[in-house]
Amino acid sequence: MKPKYEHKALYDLLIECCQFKSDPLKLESLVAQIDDWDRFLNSAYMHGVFPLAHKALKPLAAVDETIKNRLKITNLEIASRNMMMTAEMLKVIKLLDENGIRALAIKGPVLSQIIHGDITQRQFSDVDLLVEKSDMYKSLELLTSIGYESQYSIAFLKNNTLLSVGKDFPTTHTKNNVLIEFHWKLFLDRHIKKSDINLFSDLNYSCMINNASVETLELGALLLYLLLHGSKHYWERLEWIVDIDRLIRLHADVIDWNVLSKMAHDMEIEFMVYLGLAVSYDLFNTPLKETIVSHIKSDSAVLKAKEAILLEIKNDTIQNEQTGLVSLENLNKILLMKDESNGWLRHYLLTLFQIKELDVYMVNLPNFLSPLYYLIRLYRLFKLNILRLK
Amino acid sequence: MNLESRYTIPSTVLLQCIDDETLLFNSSNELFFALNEMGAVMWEMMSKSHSLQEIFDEMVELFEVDNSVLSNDIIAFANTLAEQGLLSFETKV
Repeated sequence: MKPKYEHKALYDLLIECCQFKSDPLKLESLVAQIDDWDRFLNSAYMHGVFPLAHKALKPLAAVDETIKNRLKITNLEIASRNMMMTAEMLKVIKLLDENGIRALAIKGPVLSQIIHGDITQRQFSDVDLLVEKSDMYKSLELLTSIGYESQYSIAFLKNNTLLSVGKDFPTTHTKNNVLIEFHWKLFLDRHIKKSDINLFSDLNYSCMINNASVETLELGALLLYLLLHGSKHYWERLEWIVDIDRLIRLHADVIDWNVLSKMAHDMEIEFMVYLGLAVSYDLFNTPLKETIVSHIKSDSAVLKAKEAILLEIKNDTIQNEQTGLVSLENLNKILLMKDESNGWLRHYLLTLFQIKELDVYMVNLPNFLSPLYYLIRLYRLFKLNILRLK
Repeated sequence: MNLESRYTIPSTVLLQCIDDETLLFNSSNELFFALNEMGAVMWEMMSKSHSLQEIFDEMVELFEVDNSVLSNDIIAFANTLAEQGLLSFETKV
């Protein structure tokens, strides 16, 4: 028996707005079925697809002018903020470059430019930059000189334990509040056993934004990263699924599926990769190779996880956390069991005893005292559990 | 400033067309500036040129307008942009 969706028209309209080529007649018919526009607008925003909804609904006569105005105002706010973050990103990349630091832009404005040809068509709330681990301290020192502040002292970026167990360091501009996450890795070691992605490859992709060349990952590696990132977050935002669909549609010619499959296999993340592709294929009929389509149609675990994700989206549970958590918990178990060879036991042991960034941020020990972080970890575990019991 | 003046657009200026509006953002002073339809046409010409005279010559061809009025309008528009840091004019030594 097929599950009954509470907000079918809302869901169908959101999906149609996100299609690569949406059908105006279908849009008109779905618009007529929407009885709660507040909920629709909120969902579009929460799913990160507000600009796409605005673009699809703007020309439709069936959409009330009041709704069009609300779409226009919020879209303008998103676009203005995107412009500010993009300008900040360009300024920072230029500053780093002038100081001999190679920085890659991940997601945010550069992804919007790659998949929509426009920095305003994708919602993002921060700028993600990737630099070599050895350039982290100098990068943050430079940013501090132009008005950025971080929650933790940048001296932590000389701490080898942090550089080993962490992956990024956020910093915010004191005046315009633009948040930049500086990454030295894309994935935490406890999430990925080994990463074969060559982050600073000569094959990296560059795109032009405001007459400046901005470097990002090689597009196959970018796709792999987005697939993993989305799966880790249960594909709870439609925006992430749109990213996958558009990237494959528009850049299929430069994505080497054999290399991508091998990387996924070697990194033991095949399940997550196939899950992301399955969701994108289901919602947007993403053009995939026959071999991939037959795999995702025959892998029962992928199909089960995909259905759990679609149920979340179709029921609009992004706005209903209580309902959402139940099935997301099950999905978490599926994800853990599939791609981590020792399953949930390994995951929970690592979660418990592996040193975390927050353990390091408690005190910046000199590198030769780094084994003491295990004691801090135990202390924090004890403290957290005692607090929980109380 | 006159039609002979030469200018550059600072790299801190970002342009974006959103719906029927053209927005300029200058990251050096964090200010947004909205252009009307004619302003957007003039900005596009400015982005492809470096002198006000070239813009004047191009606009004379396109629009039926009194030369002195056009000249004053271009200089006034360029002045406004310069005040917002959206254009930098070369200073003669």
